[in-house]
Amino acid sequence: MYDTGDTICALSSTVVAGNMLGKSIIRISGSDAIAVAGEVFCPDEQLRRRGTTAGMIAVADIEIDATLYAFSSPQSYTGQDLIELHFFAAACVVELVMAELLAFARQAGPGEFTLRAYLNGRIDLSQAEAVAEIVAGSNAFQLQAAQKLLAGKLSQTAAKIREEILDVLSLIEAGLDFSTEGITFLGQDEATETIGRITQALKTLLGGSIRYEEMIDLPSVGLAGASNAGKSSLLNALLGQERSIVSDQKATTRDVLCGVLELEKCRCTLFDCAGMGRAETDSGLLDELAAQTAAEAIKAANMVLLCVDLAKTDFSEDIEISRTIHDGELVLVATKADLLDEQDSKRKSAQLTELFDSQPVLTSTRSGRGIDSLRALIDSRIVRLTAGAAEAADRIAINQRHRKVVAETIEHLIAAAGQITLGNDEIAAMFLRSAYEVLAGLEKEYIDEAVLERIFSNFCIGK
Amino acid sequence: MKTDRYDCIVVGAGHAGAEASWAASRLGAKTLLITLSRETIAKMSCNPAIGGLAKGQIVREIDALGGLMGQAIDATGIQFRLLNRSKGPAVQSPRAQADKYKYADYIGNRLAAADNLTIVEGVVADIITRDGAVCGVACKDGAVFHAPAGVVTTGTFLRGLMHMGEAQWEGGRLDEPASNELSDSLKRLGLKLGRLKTGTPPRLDAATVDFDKAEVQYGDEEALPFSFMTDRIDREQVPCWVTWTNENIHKLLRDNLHRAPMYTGQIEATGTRYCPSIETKIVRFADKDRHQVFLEPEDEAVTTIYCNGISTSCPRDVQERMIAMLPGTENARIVHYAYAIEYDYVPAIQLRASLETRAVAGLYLAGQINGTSGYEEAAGQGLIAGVNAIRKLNGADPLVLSRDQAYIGVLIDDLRTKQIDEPYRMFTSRAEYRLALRSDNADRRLTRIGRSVGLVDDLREQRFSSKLADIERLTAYLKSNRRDGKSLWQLLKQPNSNLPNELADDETVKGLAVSGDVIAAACIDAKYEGYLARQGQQIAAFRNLENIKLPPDLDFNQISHLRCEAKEKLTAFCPSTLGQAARIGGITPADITVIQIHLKKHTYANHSTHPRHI
Repeated sequence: MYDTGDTICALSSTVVAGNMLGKSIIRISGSDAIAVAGEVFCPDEQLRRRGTTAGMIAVADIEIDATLYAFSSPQSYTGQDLIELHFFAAACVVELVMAELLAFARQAGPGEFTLRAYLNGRIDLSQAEAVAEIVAGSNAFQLQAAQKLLAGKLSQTAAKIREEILDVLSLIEAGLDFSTEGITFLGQDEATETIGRITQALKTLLGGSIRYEEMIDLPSVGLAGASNAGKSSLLNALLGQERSIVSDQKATTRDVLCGVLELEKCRCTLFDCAGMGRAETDSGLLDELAAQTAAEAIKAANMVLLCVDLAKTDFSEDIEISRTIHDGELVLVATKADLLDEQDSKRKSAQLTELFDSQPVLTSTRSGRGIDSLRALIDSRIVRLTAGAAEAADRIAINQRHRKVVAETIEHLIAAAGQITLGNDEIAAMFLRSAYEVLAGLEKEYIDEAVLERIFSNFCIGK
Repeated sequence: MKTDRYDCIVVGAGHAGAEASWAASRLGAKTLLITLSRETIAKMSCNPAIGGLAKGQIVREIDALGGLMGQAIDATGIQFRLLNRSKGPAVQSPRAQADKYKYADYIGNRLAAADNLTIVEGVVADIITRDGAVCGVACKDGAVFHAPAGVVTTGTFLRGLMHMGEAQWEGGRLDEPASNELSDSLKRLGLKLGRLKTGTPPRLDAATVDFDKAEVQYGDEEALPFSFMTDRIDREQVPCWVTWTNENIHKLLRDNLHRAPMYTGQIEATGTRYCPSIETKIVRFADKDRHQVFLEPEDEAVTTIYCNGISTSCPRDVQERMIAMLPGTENARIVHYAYAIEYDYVPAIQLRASLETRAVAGLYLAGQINGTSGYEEAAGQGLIAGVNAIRKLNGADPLVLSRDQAYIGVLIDDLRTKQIDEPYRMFTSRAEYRLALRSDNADRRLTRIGRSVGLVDDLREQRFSSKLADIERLTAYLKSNRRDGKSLWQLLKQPNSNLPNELADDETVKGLAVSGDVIAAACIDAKYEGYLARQGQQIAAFRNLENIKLPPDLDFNQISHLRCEAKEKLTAFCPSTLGQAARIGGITPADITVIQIHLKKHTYANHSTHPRHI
């Protein structure tokens, strides 16, 4: 059983192997979060209750640059005071920091941050499950689906259908409780018709929904390139308004994921393959694991955008990267086109065409040049690659439990309609109530401890 | 000054007070019943009928527990009908017109003859307490009675304010005084009071009604008794009549809305949605060109008629003109004019599940004072309050019926977990386990409980035992005998099976010598078997939360992470189980989990050395 009163702490979202440096995030939640963080963190300035504070982590004799993000109660994810410590350090140092913190806070159990978010009313149950899917999902499209849940689309659909069930139920109940009033509240035919319509809506929901597993097959586009090639800016420009929440929460999810690209004819996932090429950080150390993950993602991608800084002169690193990408999938994107005048641009463009055996799309995220044509290019290529996948994106993703809930609701509704035909309205009412309650279980259940712990143990530590 | 000592004092002798004093005295407690007048014991101040949808089940439950109401209506009913006959047995309910004078006499006589029970006339003005516990009552005339337990069942009398058109006057009921002192006394004890309203229709001199112009409505050919102790009812039944309002009446009412206190703001309290006044009906259902009016005799000799369906707060002249336009009553003389009444009630969230007030130990409230409507709802509470007042004196746990056991359980639970803003009336749809809470099986649900608390006498117990045995024998026969390859039991599950009708004439069944009740019970058991099993699972799930008792000293404000709104609600409603907490409006599942976690923490803190930090 979880205690929700104390302060918990966990290491999350880190890509660290051996003694290599990687980004680590430590989360601390609870009323003592700020004080606990203060045990290891020395701010450069006054530690603020809210927002970002630069400083350093000091443990043993080691000092590491770190950034502290403070989210105060009740607006934080967990609804409690929440601290995130972001820093780059080798695994053994991270362990040291955690050990120090655990003297003042408790190690969080699996999913405990989300449990708190749920208990403090920050998210409802289906949202909590969506977070579980974000954490568990390795495919960006799963993430998109999970976000739809977060946005409450399934909740909304279910709520609408629940209202309809309630409407029929109340009319039937009225027929039972007010039969002496001489009013026909709902005719038998009308009742079965309405229930049939609701059943059909639920069946459509089931039929039109995609399983998470199925989404792995949906198209993906990778962003490759050397560091400082302008990948992030391009990514932001491409995703525009549709940009997913994940990249907003800097490095809180897997480094390889970015978001869903909304195009005219289709949707696809956009990967930022950070960690490719040479040094990403000042230390000069490359995170092998991150590189490996990135390479796998590139291999799995339907299309890769290779970003090359048009302004630079030495393209040897970019050529090296291009060798890891299959020719048929590569689209050369020249970035920062605004830094050159028209003449230089043309010259460089010709140089790139020769070097890479592919004509680059000239882009500038500052002027917006080339972004629309790039989107159109991706759109037409992906549509050609995966005909028919377009409409898939609009479906509601349903996980196993939701599937079961919807199927069970349908079962109850069919039973209810059958009982109405037999004239057993009181039994029909029981089935309608069950249908309502089962469907309500999507967001609202009286969960006993066992169920609760099972749901939340599916979470990774820290979200 | 007159003083006397009792175990329990019941204030008020309406339907709640009658059952409360009957139950308390039956449990062997020296009981005092104080009534304004012996004449008004168990008076039917409104509709001269007992039972009805869902209410009929409550009467059967009261009877199964050993209460009076079922036997009283069987002895004095003048027309019996089983409602919802065309629908399933779970929603069928008995209803009967009563001879209201004989009904009151019957109850009065039973109470007068009861052992341990003293009845006095008086006006109780004050509840006397010592150290937060009740110790007696003081009457207006100075008489003081002492008892460590009290049940207050004052109906609509607390600060009762009657309305008839522009006129308003203080009164608890027609021609009876209101009780303002007692209302103040309850307030002094720390109880918060709310305000409700209800109304009655006009009563007519039956001799002046032309019944030929109305549609006659007869009772059932065979009157089904309410009481499990009644074998059959042979009394000749009296018909009722139905007539309809018309456009002329609607126009009259529309033109006079400014004289109806409901609409002038003269009445501030909330009325009922399920029993609206005729002026409310014509406003809210303006497209309806006519409304039903039942002309119901108030006595066996048919001397007065109750106009069921046209309760109103309109002034006398409007009432007269309305009656003059109603088919059949054109020349009728109004014996009692309709009136509306506003009164104080005590929102029942201030009560424990036993109906004892949380503010004053030993003080119990039952009936309309708790915000309910209806004789049956009142009587059910009265019985529970009477039993619990005495059980507390004896150091026994209170009798608390659960939502899956009885409508009475649903009633009291609803009162304690719902915000009541109109007089609470029972409906079958309020009972989520309706298939199990039937009229036919009230005895099987509750007689043994009535027996264990001491209300059920030997005769009822024997009768019940033999009925149970009969049902078992018949069930065994039905399960072991086959027709067309199927057992009779299975055949009974088939829709529209005619088997229930055939069984009575079946030679073997005749040989089993079982009553019609027994056959009916077995047939219903067979029909509902599968569905009851389903409902059984739901009940089991419901009990999981219901069985988690909240410590009486639990301070919700001390539970960290509980939302402020939840803290407020829970503190106000003071639920005694986690299930009850979950049913309070505005309480979310997350709140329940937080409480669960708190309870768990509590247990850890008290019983283990569970480490706080790993």
